Amino acid sequence: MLMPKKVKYRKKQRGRRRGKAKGGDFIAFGDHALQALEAGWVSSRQIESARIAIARGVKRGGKIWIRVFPDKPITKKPLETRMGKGKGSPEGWVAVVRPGRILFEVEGVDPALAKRAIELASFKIGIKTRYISREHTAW
Amino acid sequence: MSEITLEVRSREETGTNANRRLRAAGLIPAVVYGGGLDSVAIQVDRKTLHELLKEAGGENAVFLLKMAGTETKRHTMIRELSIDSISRQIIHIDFLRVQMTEKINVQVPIELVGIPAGVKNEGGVLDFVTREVEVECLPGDIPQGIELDVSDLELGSNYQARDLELGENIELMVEPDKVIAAVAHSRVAAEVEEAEAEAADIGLLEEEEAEPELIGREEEPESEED
Repeated sequence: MLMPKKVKYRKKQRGRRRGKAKGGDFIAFGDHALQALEAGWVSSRQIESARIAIARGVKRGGKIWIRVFPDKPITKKPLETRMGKGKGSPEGWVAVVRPGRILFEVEGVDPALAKRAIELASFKIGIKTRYISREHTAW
Repeated sequence: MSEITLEVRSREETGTNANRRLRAAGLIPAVVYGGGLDSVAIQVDRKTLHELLKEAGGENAVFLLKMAGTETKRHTMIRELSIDSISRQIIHIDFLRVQMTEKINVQVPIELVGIPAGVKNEGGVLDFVTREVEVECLPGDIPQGIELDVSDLELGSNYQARDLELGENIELMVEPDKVIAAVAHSRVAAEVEEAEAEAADIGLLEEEEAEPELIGREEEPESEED
């Protein structure tokens, strides 16, 4: 699963997820993409699961890009522990996603197959997402 | 490329709130600059612009902007089109004044034609690496797109920028060896991917992840012992 190789600090504060994606909000590499419509944390497990769904969906061939990276450590306190006594221990990694962010891109497969694969991947992500393609222009 | 006439109005109010009101009224705030003249804030009708862009088949069109109520006309091109990534609406346009007799640099999209032989017969994957190239030409000569026939492209081979057939008076402004499209092997990659996916599937729940290394903290345990 995706996680950083090196970090400066083991734990991070939660932060806020207001507003829209500042970058990574347009299709840059492929022809078809999965775009986030909500703000949220997308875990490394969700990303991996969605990647597998796309890889299976497009069968042989095609190229996949993962456009988010889970670089935020998430901590959790053990069960049945009283509050206090400091922050919990790192449990996993998440990518902070804001509306508009492209999560995955696909190229080199039949459009119908790519759409189906991306829709299957969208079930693995814990936030509202949609399929978009290069043909979807503003006009 | 054909010239498109667009009627625009000047915009007195500027700022976020005024622009939001404009967008709600079906207009798009825009600005015209360049050519050694002052910038002018304008507004464009959204519907008309959409129709014209559809007709032009892209952003690389020369617009003859006509200021409503005056005789002022200017040749411009779209320099930047801000599009809202959620609603997919155009939210702002930058028009750049151009001289029809002066060469300009523009990004022209490449259109691939045909199915490569490497994809059809050898099971490769077409990788469209460079989708736009920068060219230098007169505003009137800007092509809508550059077609590249990839039918003969075999597995492991590629087409480079020098293979593009540009019209007369159009000069390529990128490295001639820049790869435009290539056919890469896909089967092996797909098989590895599947194997990986299976392995990941099995290990997904049991996997206990190691923590990443901390930058600049290698010596810490020793110093704590003292």
